[in-house]
Amino acid sequence: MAEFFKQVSEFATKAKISNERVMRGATIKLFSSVIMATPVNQNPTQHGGGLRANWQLGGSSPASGVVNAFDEGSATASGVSSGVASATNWHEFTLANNKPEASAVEFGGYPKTPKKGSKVSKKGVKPAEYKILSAGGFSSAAPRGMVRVNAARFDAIVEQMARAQR
Amino acid sequence: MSEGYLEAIQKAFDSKLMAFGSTNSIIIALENINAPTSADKPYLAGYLLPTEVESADLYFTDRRDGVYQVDVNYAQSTGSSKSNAMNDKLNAAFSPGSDLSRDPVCVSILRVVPGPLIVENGWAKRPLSIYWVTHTERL
Repeated sequence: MAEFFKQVSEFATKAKISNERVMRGATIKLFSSVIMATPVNQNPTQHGGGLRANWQLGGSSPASGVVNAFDEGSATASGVSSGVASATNWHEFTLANNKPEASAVEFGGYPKTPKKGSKVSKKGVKPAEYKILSAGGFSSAAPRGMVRVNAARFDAIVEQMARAQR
Repeated sequence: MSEGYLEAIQKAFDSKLMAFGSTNSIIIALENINAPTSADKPYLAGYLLPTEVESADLYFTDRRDGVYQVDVNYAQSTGSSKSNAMNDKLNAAFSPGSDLSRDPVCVSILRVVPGPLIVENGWAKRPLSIYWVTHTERL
């Protein structure tokens, strides 16, 4: 993230626009995109939104631990955006998710060729129903992961924010 | 245009990975093509993860970014040294700052990031993320 600030700063200086506004704007855009790309569990027997709700904003040190919360909508993205907008120190932000399933969702850690899929019928229902919720190792709800495809757009996001500030 | 932009980007990476597999005597599994199921055959799997196509200027040019992920798969319980060595070789083959050309695109490799070792279903997989960017004429 220090490098992130340096790049934003250099760009903003060249373009004679506010470093702070570009930094906050680009961070909000990037972090919101990551959070909203996070899949919500489609298994009706489980509570959905635990992974999305676990995105936590930090400063120079990433947040640690897991929170017991669920978000199937945009509450987490709104909360993180408000945090970025109001933080006193705007030079460094981190976004962390410590849920164990995060790496499987990001890197495609599910079975490439699932045999039965996940059990989606309630306990005691017979015959049990199964549904395949992944494809090629990735969650069907996030077939490109969450973080890297948005981080890859970093330069484009900074340019967009700088244009908007002119 | 000989083939579409997206297909040319995918083929640029896939063909480089196939050549790498041939040089290093390791099986390559491309997207939507069956991978080995026997854990005694290590293999590399390549995936293209493109992002949104965005305007790079007012009228003529699109910017395309993304990640080409290469999974380095070795059998579970065999440690990490072979996987790490293969990651290093891949990093050298897809070095940051280099370009891959395939008509009609020229894809620039920006950075290469090794991921965590994920152990599951008899395999230990370390994903390598190759960040890329290219600019194309607007369709």
